Amino acid sequence: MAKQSQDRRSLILLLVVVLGLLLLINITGEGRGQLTPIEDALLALFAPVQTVFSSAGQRLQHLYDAVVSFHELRAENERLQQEIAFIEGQLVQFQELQKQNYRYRRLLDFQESTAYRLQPAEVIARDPSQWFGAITINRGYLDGVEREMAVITDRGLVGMVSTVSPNSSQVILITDPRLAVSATVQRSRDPGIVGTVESHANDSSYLTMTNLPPDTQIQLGDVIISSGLGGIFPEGLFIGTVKEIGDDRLGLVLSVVIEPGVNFNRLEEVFIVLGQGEKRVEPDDAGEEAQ
Amino acid sequence: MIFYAVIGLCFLLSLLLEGSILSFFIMEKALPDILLVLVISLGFMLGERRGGLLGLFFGLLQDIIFGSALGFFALAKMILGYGAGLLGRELYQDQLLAPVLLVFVGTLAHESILYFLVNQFIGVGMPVELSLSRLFIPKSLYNMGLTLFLYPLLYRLYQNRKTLSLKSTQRSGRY
Repeated sequence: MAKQSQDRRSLILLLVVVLGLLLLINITGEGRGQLTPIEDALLALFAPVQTVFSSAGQRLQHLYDAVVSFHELRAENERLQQEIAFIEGQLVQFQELQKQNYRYRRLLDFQESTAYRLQPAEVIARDPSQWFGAITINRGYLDGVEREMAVITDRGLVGMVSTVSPNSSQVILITDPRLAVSATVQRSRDPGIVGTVESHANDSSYLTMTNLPPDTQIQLGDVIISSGLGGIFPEGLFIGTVKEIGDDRLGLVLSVVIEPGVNFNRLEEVFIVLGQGEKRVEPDDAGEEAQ
Repeated sequence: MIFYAVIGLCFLLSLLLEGSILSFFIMEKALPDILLVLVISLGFMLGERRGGLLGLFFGLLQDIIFGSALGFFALAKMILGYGAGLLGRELYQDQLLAPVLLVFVGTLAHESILYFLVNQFIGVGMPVELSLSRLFIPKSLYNMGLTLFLYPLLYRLYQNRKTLSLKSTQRSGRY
């Protein structure tokens, strides 16, 4: 009974307080010009502590912002790096295409200017060993390629076709010890001065021309071309220039070191000289012959 | 006495935290209301009178510190403190489920009371659906999460206080 009465009193008190608060809200809700002394005192008491907490809050927020912006910056950095990598890739591709375009232009010019019937080919493999000099090209007998055909570039003689398959062929380079080319000095074109160009014993990037008569008039920088003897390499193909002149051990023959015109480490496109070096028939020549 | 001192300190700290550190991490406009969680949780444990009183006192303090209009928070928190006390008689206090759900519903009720009061006495307010989705429900969820941590601590404190007062009664009876 007492409990019920207590509850009722509580409820009545609550209602009274509610009404009081509603009245307070009604009075203060629209805004007040001045605060009561109690409010003033409370705010004065709280203000310094609030300042401390607020500054701590601001610091925490700055820290949080720094962490957030760090993540954003890192994400942006990653995105930009990916973009750079992509653009760099494209640039490399573009430069590669530019180089290829330049090479093709040069080869086309060469193909048009030369008198030989040429079959262009791409180098698709190289012998990785240090012992031989051989490459594989993407033209075979289906393209008219035959064994012992000369292979050249616009920079000079490359080698000779050694084996032929339907769609590819193997080419022995003139730097290979298995190959020797009969050659002469372009300046004199003396039919008596014929030597043999072979691989250099000590340096695979050079060639040696041996068996030259000891009285051969030869100078540094002289151009060495194929002599056409032997029937494999057509006459007049550029091989290289004289870099060093020296005697053999007995002094019976002259031997010179040749710097080849072709950079064998960077062979990418070559030409196969078709038909054992037969000269191609130009339309004008054909007309003259017919007449 | 120590219990009430700790509780008072908790309330003051909550008031300061809500106005400073927490307000910098506001998300979707909703902030957890630690003060409300304390009022409901303590009202649930201490009964309707004390709950109502705590709500009234600290709600009024909140009104004074954070706004010039008095009575809004005091009224809403007093009603919630009182209501939580009434329910505390009927429900198990040693289980977490009841206070957690009570805080969720209580927060919705608290915000609805404030919504009504602001609408009636000041005449401004967001549309109900928007307030519900962007303020009331996120706030209720925040508060529910807070209760999971706060209520066990408060309950342990309250039990210690009860044990201590029981011992002191027994001791005074023996002598």
